Amino acid sequence: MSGALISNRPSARTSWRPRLRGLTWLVWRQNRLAFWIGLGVAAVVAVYAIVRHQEMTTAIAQGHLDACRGTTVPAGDCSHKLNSFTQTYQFPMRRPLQAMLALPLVFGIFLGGPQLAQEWESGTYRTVCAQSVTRTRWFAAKLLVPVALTVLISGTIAAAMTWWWQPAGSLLGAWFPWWQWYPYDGIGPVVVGLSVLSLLIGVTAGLILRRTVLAMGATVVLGAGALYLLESVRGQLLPTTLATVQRTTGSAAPSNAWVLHEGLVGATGRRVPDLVGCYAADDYPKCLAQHGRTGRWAEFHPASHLWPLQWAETGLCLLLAAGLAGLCFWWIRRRPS
Amino acid sequence: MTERTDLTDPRESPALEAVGLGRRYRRGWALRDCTFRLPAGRICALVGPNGAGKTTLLSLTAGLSEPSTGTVRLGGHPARSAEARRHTAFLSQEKALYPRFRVSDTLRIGRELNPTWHQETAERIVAAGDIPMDARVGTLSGGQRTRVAFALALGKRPRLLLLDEPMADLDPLVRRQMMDTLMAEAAQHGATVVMSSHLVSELDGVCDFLVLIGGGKVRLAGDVAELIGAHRTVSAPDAQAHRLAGLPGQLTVDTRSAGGRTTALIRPQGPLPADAEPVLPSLEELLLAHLRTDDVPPLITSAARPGAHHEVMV
Repeated sequence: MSGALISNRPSARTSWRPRLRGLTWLVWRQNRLAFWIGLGVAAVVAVYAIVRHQEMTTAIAQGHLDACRGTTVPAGDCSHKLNSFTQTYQFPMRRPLQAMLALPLVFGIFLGGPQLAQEWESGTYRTVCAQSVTRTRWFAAKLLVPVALTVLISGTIAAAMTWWWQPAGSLLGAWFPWWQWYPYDGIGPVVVGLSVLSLLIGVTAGLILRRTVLAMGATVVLGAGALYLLESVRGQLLPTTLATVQRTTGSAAPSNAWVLHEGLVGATGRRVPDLVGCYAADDYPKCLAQHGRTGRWAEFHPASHLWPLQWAETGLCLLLAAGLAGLCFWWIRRRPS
Repeated sequence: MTERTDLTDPRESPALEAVGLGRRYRRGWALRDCTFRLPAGRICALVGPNGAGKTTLLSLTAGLSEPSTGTVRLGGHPARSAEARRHTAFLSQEKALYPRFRVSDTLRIGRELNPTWHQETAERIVAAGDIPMDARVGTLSGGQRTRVAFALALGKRPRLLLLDEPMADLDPLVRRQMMDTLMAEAAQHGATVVMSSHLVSELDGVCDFLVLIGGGKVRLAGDVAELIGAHRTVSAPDAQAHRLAGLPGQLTVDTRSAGGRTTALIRPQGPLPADAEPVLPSLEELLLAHLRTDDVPPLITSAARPGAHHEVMV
């Protein structure tokens, strides 16, 4: 038996520890520092978010704030309570939520850009491709391992931010609209989608430009451009709700809805143009009524569209990312050296 | 044993066979119509001036780039096939390794990515250079890094070892050591070695096969002794130099004058005049003469000619 134990296998590890093999190990070994840093940051954010979430739910329960939930025009006691809640709990989460817009770019710049560019710049891809593996398989590992790391880290951070935002978002309603760029870009699955897309932008830039610094710079520009474009098509990703309300002074859309378009209607329900002359009138609604503008229409996303919109945008991001991955595979086959 | 396995036996097929191999970049042809054959078990020098196409040829052979024309087969297998990949090791000119990896991680690359990996061989080569296994590659000297790169290439136990300017950045002592290690490993496992160099002196006495390329084409290919045997140097005082220039019926590769005497390297096509005192050139003389001229017809001996499946000695 002792002969069997003294094997000349290079490393006999204990079986409980998962052991990476082959290309997966190599790419993991190259990216493990970034992974541990990312996971450390994610863990800190998660712990902080859990604490803040706990504080908020305690404050809501102790201050009997639930009674104020959903009040569109808070008055008296509720107004005071919600104001002080906003100052104590919502203000501190604004900056972190705004900073979340940059998170996808971080993955693109530091994980995506150098991933291939550095290999070409230093010539190490020749060393790897001279082993018994094909270039395509190596590239697949260079793509999949960072994607897995990105999904894990950005997913943890996104979940933590969502957990932190959720009590404030649901209590404050229209006082903290869900559809503005923050919190929208800082919570939910869209964070993961944007991060993966940004990573792929970085990898593609690195493959085509073959210079690390250039690739990182291109990732900043292209990633920001992609964020801007997605922001502008976001409202069209799902069918909107259309509402027409007669004899109203406010909006035709419910509270906390993301209104894309709105306007005035006549008594027949037909849309009519706005009346600039009434802006100066003492009684604006009365002025409108006198000119036959009896109601309002609105095209909007209700608050219940938050997660469907997020998933739709995430799907679009992943589709674009898959397109870039396909481009990379095509490029690497067409231009092998 | 079937006929098919006979064909895959490295001893049956030539270690390397290039037919009409060419590669064009945007700037033009880096290698053109390259045709030669390298029998298994030989130590082959790949010589040529800078930019002659040596790196391109090795890159194509290692499967790192695709030929624009022609084919290259290793032990009977196409260069980019899994079989060829498994049994071929390539050491690129820059010998690029990951600087943040430890030496042990670098060897693990070889272990993880090659089914034929032999850890002890690699560790022995590293240990011979007194390189600690836990040192980071980025902290090693140039010579030590080259040694680690050699360990990564030789640990694969390749049948064909392709080395692009392997000794260029080493001091003479380490160069000699590495060459000895290389030859010992190659001899022990019957590996075929192709080594590019523009240092003619480091090839003498080591290589028994020669491929000389210039201007993207094969100029000389074959067994070293056979190639030397096909040439003669003749010399005469400068005053009688005209006699050498016009030796009737001979092919003059190159003439040069030094120390009052003119020496010519010729490829005899028939009996030489009795007073010409012809002697066999050294490898260095042969190479330098061919490197200086580019209008001499190529000489490819039968051993280096593709299609001839048995070595024919002249």
